[in-house]
Amino acid sequence: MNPSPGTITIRSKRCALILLLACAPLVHADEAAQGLQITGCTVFSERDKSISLDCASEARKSCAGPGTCELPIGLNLTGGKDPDGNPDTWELVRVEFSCHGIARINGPHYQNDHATMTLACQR
Amino acid sequence: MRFNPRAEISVHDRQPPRYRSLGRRGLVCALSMALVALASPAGARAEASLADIKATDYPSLTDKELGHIRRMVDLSRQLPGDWSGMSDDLWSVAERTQQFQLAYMAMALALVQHQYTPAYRELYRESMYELIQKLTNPDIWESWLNSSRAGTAFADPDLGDVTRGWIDPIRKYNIMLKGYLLQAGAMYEMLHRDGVFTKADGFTFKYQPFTWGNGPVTFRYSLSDVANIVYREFVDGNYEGVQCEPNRVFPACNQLPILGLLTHDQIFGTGYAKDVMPKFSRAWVEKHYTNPVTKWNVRHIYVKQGIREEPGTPVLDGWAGSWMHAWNPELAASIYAGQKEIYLDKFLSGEYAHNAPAPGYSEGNRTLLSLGFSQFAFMAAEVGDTEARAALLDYAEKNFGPVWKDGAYYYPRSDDYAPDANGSSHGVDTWSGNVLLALARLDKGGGFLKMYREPWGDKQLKAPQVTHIDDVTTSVSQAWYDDKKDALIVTLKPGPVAARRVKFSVQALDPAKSYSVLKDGQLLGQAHGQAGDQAGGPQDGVEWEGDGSAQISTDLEREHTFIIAANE
Repeated sequence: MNPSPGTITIRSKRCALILLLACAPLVHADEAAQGLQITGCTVFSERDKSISLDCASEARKSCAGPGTCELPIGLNLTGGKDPDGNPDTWELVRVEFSCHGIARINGPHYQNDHATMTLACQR
Repeated sequence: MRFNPRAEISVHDRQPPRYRSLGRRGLVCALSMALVALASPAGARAEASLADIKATDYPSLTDKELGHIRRMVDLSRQLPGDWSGMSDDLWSVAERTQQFQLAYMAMALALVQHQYTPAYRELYRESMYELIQKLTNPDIWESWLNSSRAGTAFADPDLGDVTRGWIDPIRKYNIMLKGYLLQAGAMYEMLHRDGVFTKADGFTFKYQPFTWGNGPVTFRYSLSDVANIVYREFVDGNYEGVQCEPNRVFPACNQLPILGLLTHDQIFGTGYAKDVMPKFSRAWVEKHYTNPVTKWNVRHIYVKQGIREEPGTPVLDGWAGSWMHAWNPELAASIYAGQKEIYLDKFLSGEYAHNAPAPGYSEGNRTLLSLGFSQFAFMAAEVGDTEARAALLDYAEKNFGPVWKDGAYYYPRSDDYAPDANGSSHGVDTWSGNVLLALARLDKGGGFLKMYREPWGDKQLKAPQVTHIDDVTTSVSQAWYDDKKDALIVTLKPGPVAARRVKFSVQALDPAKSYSVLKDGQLLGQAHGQAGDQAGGPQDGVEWEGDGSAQISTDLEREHTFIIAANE
């Protein structure tokens, strides 16, 4: 069987151990870099989807690095403002994130000062 | 003469054998107290005044009432997701009845706490907390996602189709959950003041389905968040009621949130209920929520269309009247008079179930029959119709098959609704069997009215109480602190599990005072070896601590009454 691209074939236990020890710091650093990352965040009006705000930078303030994040999805994402200015219309929040390079989505959920999205790399 | 336990340590060498198992300071204090009682005029005065304290002058729970309470406590302790003994076939109602059972049980325990055993709180506190916590379990609230979508058939004929709905069970409408959460949570806070539900995440709802949906999301609300939202919805709804599902106001379901607001006002000084109560009362009369001709309450109102759905039902009429009496007794009593004419004879004759739907799924299913019976019974009890209450409870005893199980007393679910040879129905739903009929028994008239008129403050919260009671072996039928006599009256009954001896604590006594302890009229703190001691067994004892607490050990092969009274 041919190894798939990127697979390292280990020929001896000693080699494996050496490789493991040598690469351990790199593996940790790589995982941290690729942990949970916000790749996109949008708040949009249910009434008119053309009314939307990019909330990625605000979301990143709450979620950076670790594998799980409770992201508040209230007015914190929109600078305390109602994006479409209509108190009778609810807005929706959609977050895109990645876990070790794998794209994931949470939402849309209604923007809500009492709500948090759970973003997790492991379910 | 004042007894200062901290000043009596020097006499510890004179301890009698019976106190060897007690702590050093405790046994010294106990002995000191006994000596004080024996030798001093204070002891003589105490004995004379103690004779004036009669346990029969104070509220106490009957065995059946204790059994009802134990049933509710047992249900509060079921593991998350275990609804054994709480299920019915009310499939036409999205939320079924568990959330109502939980909230009503919490309120029933609150009633007992407030009016029967205010000096025994740990059991009620723990059980109320667990019942309220269960209201935040997804099994209870997730159905809101469906109910919030409304639809054309029963919710809004002008809607066109169901909507996308929303998950958050508190944000808007759903008064049949958040109103009850508010009532029970506020009552818990009034009775226990530990702030557990006043925190920002006091009520936390986690939506985390793995197999569908738009991803996990959590909603967190404090008690005051809920109160504020409920109040705003009353205001936004022109004080005509908060909607249950979108576009439908059920007047019955709007009683409990008003009471929740009332308690919130009492604790936090808000003015929510003060504003809502007169305006909602006015709306009730002006909008004919009680039909002046038929005497029925409307079932619900279609808000957009302004349509009142009739005829009423005993389920909703009893539901509304029992709680309305706690905040507007005059209006409730006037409505009850007409509804009693409609319902009482039908219930007592069994006629109410003579046209019971066939078994299995049906729109107007049979659960509603017994629910109507017991909602009406609870209303009769609360408005003080003692004759009707007694007759209805008697019917239930004869026909609803009550059982004792491990110290719990309840009416287990029965789907046997078809009338027997006497015309009586034996069908019972679980909401009735677990709590509604218990409420009818526990509420001797105006019980909840009194509770809302006499909220607890520091005086009640800081009064002496009994603690560390093993509720597996011990039932507390009486626990009352009489502040005028500075005496705590406690009656313990054995069971459900037998124990020859038990021990309990008394807390919040005044360390600056001396106390006498009587057991069944005998001065336990004075003599060596009292009545109630078993031959060869350990002696009864009182271990005093310097911090205002005491531990009392006793046999419990039969009922015993203790009086812990401050000496003059």
